[in-house]
Amino acid sequence: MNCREFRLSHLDYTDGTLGPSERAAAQAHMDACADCARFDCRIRRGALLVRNLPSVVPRPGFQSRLMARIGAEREERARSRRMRGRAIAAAAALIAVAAGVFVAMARSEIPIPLAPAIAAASAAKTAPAAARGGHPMMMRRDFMAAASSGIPLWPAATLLDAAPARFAGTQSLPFAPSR
Amino acid sequence: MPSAAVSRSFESTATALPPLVRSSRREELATYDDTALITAFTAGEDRAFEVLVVRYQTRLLNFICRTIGDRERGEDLVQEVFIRVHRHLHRFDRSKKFSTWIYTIASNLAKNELRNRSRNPLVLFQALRQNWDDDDRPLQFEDHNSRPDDMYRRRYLREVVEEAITKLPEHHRQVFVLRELEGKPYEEIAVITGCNLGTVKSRLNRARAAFAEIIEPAIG
Repeated sequence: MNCREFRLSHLDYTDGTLGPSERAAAQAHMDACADCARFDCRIRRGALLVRNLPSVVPRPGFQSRLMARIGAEREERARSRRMRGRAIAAAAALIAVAAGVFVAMARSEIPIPLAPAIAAASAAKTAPAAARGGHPMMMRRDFMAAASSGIPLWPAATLLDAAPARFAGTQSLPFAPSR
Repeated sequence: MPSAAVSRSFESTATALPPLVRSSRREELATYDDTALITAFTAGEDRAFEVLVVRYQTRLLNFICRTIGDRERGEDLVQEVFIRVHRHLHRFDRSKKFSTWIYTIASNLAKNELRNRSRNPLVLFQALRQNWDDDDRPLQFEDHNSRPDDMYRRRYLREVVEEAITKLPEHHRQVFVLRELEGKPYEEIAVITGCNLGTVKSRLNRARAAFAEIIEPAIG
């Protein structure tokens, strides 16, 4: 056994877990090598010093401080659980009320207000667009007023110019755009 | 081993008992092993947890203090260990070893502490010295029957040894303290530190050699 092998196996040597032949080889090496013998002595002395260090003891009141912290944490967890429960109950109540209102309105006669689907065309105040030289759709003030509502009008708009003037100004549609 | 049912029957009467009987119940709990204490605790007996605290507080304090080199902060960390244990004890797998689990928590907290602090050994050593003033010395080291120069030599030696431990690299120090101070088997140290067995032995070998080299000039 050389010095390197001795130092690598030194832990097992001091633990007494080396096999008989390896243990004999380690012992023989120490007998022959003063450096490794000194190494063995220093390691054992160091281990002895460490194992005989006085124990660090907790300061007085350690346990009572700990139990107070645990008690406070328990309280905090219970409080969080109660608040979560209340939040869930409030959300559930809100959903129930909203659902109830919706169901009630669906069953009642009250018309549910909806956005106007078609804007009514007013009577043409200007001459037909072709006679004025402009694009027929761009010249229709009322068309522009209706278009500003954002409702798609293209299908209806293409028919406007062709629509008979007598349909304009009809009162049957309650959601005519204001002038 | 007392069953949970037995523990429950004790619990229902224990709170109505006078202090003398309650303290005898605590003495009885102190004879339980860790698994029986955990069973009693999960059955509702809070004193079982207090017995666990008493059983492990000093060992954990020594382990953490020697690892991080700071006694005051060490006490805070030990309290944090017990708080985490208390939080999760109901879910602990009782087929596993409790001491391994609690030491693993302590090891992780110590590692995090070292990561968060300055790695300057001088700072760590100063923190250790600051916390080890005369009033804090463990009384059992102070043998008042000894001659004053003997006491001085021992005090000096203790400081040298503690300083040498703090000078070890962090991953060597943990293994060194767990083996040389706590006497943990290699397999348990491997679980606690998250290393394999070969790594544990290699680190311990190096830690022992480094430690011996560090203290050599002081002790001759």
